[in-house]
Amino acid sequence: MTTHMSTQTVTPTASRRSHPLRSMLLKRSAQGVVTLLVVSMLVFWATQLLPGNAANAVLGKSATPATLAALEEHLGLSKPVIVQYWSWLSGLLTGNPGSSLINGDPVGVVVSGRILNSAFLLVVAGVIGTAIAVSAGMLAASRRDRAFDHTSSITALVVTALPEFVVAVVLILIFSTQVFKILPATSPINPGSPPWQQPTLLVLPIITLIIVIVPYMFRMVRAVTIETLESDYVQTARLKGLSEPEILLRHVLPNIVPASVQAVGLTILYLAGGVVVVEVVFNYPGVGQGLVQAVATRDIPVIQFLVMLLAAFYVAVNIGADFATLVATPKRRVTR
Amino acid sequence: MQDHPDERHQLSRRSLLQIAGLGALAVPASSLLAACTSSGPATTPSSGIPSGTPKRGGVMRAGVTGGGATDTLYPAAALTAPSYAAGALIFDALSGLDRNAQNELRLAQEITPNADATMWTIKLKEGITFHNGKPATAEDLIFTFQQVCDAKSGSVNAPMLAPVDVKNIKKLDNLTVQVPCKTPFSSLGDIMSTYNFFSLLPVGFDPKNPIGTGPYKFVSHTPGQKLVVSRNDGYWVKDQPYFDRVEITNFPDETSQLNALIAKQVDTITSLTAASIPQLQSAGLYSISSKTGGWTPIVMRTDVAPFNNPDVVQAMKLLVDREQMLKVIFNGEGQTANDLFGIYDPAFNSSIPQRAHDPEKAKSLLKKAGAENLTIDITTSAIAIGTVQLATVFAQQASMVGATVNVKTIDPSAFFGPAWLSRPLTVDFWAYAPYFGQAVQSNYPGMFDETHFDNKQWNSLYEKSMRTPDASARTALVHEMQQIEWDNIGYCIPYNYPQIDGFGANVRGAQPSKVGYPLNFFADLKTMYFA
Repeated sequence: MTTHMSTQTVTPTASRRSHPLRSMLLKRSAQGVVTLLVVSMLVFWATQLLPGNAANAVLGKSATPATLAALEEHLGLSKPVIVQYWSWLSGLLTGNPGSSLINGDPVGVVVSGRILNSAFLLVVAGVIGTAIAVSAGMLAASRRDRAFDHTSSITALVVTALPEFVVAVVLILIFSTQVFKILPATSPINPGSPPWQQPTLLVLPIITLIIVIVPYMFRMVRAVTIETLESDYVQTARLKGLSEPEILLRHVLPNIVPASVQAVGLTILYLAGGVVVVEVVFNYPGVGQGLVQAVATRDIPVIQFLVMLLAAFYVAVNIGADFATLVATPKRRVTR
Repeated sequence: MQDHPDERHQLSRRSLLQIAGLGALAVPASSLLAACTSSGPATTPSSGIPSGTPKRGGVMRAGVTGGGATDTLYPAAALTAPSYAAGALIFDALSGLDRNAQNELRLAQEITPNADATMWTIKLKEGITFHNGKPATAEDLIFTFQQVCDAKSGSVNAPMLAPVDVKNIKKLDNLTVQVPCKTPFSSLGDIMSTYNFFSLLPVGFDPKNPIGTGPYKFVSHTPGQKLVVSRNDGYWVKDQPYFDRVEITNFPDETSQLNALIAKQVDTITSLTAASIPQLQSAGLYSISSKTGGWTPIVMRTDVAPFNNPDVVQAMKLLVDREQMLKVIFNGEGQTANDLFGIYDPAFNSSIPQRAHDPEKAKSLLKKAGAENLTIDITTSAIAIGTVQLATVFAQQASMVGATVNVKTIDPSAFFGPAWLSRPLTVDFWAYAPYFGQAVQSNYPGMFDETHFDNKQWNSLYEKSMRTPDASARTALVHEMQQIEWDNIGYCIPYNYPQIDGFGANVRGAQPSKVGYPLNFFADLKTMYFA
């Protein structure tokens, strides 16, 4: 009893600190689940609206009314849409995401390699890109209006304007087919092996993604750093005699985290979509290519699984970015 | 710090544009490539093909497009390029078409009908073994027929074999079977040569672990991505094949195939457009462009308006400028056609004069039919090289005679969806088949009678042909049938498309082929080698 009371009096903010974060997580997670449910219904319905179905895709030119009807029956496509949706959903909730309508392989087998491939690109490009953008952004801000700042800002502006496939094609021309000829032009990772076993195939796709995501984060970090450098506590630190690098690392960096985290979060979400273009240009077997193929063949279980995965990823990153912002902003937590 | 609303909006707009731009990806990317390479004139095929002496060794990495989840190792279900490749690598067909599009026996040493075409005798060659060492026998023949004639097994050409009385196939000896037919079926031989689909399967065939008699043995397969096979050293054709391994990789489009060949990641690429020919040349590689018997027609339903009026059908066939189409779509590669299929069949009626380009007559026929300001939609899709451009050029040429044709482009799954075979005006794609292999699919009711032809006179001539196993007697019937088609059927066939494949500088053994599918329907993978 006494210990409990003394804990309360000694650190009054400690117990209150966990609540806003935890309640935020719980509330947002609940909202996330509802979002995923709505997304799953919308996508299921949208796929039904597309002309043709998986049976058409399998039989193609050779479809006759009899063979088509037989295959639709076999695939469960002749059941009412609500029934199909429910059997998919109940399957997913019990851990069975179903099997491909096209070749009968379990969905997990069809997509697991692709998910690993895309996730690897995303993580590596995201980490390296973020590191480059944050360092360059802080450097440019601290050397504001001088040579490094000007060149990096203009470069960032130009690159932002380029569509992703232009970046990819230019890199292929320079490093693979026309000028230097040292890197492969396409990246068909061997099915069944992890992407990191073929590192030369990963270089150009990752560089493409880094080039595409750095400018935005760079400009964000630079803007936030400039603002922070003009704040009172940085002036105080300078008057106290701290060196520029010390100021940047100990006073500026922690304070730009909230805004930067939002920029990084947005970038990660963008990467999840942007990876699709890279996969087509480099023939990289990832989620984007998988989803495009699944939609083309109306392979409903695969479409639903990949879309749910991407939606869950979006929800998680959004929650994660806001959570990280809260954690990095003690003020916000207490006033809740 | 708050979100910056402008930045976020800009970001999602950009990602939207890029998802939308996916479809346009191939075109700007390839023109960018073209702009950066010195372009020369497209060469004719045979002058540029290097030669040498066959020798064993090496891993052939070939690129194809059009693969996906539907890729299969069951040869009778093949519809995509990787599936046909698997069929040609792992299996042998009983008979097929050689590179001059003529019937040739392969595993069979005999495929002969009786006097009234109600019974066929099929005999296997001796000494053929499957990859597991088991000899090929009549039991395997019977099993193959049971599978291929049964649509439920997934065999897509089963309807072509409807007259076969599968239950009563009899074994005559260890290598020979007798195949009775429910009705006279003189074209069984031609049908068996079509599209390589009649591959010999062993009793107990398992598509997950396919065993065949083919030049290569199955190693691994991931649908939509990669097929790997290794040389069958016990192959029944002496010395063949030459590669140690063959890897077939699926690509999403032509540009990535081209890049992969230039970067030496693959050795062969397939089904290219004419624009790639100069690019290959300037990179020190070569291409083979074959004139083929394959065709992509304009398809008109002659049982509904406006094409139930024969004058309107004639007008459509006359307004087409075939030379211009070849120039625009294929830069002159390929050859013009005369609205008839089966051009390499010995029975082909070459005495029918080439239909002229006559826009004036077309205009007057439309006027006569009361259809001067005809307005109609044409539905097309990227189902093969040139099918979208075909519709666009046709629409443009139709506008010259006062007809308005609106081009509607949809994706292939939608194209083969519920409206398949019912559209009044559309396109299609056919690789080459012998006359009867084609006619039973597209002219006779029951399969893919996309023009809804169902012509009484033609039908009775066709049924008479089925009772006429003698090839030369049948030729006169074919000539008559083709005249009826030329006059009446809702097919405008402006050209036979070219087949253009690309090769690395050290690849040998590939030759031009008239069959209209990559690498001589992938049969050249048996005769190709590295210099």
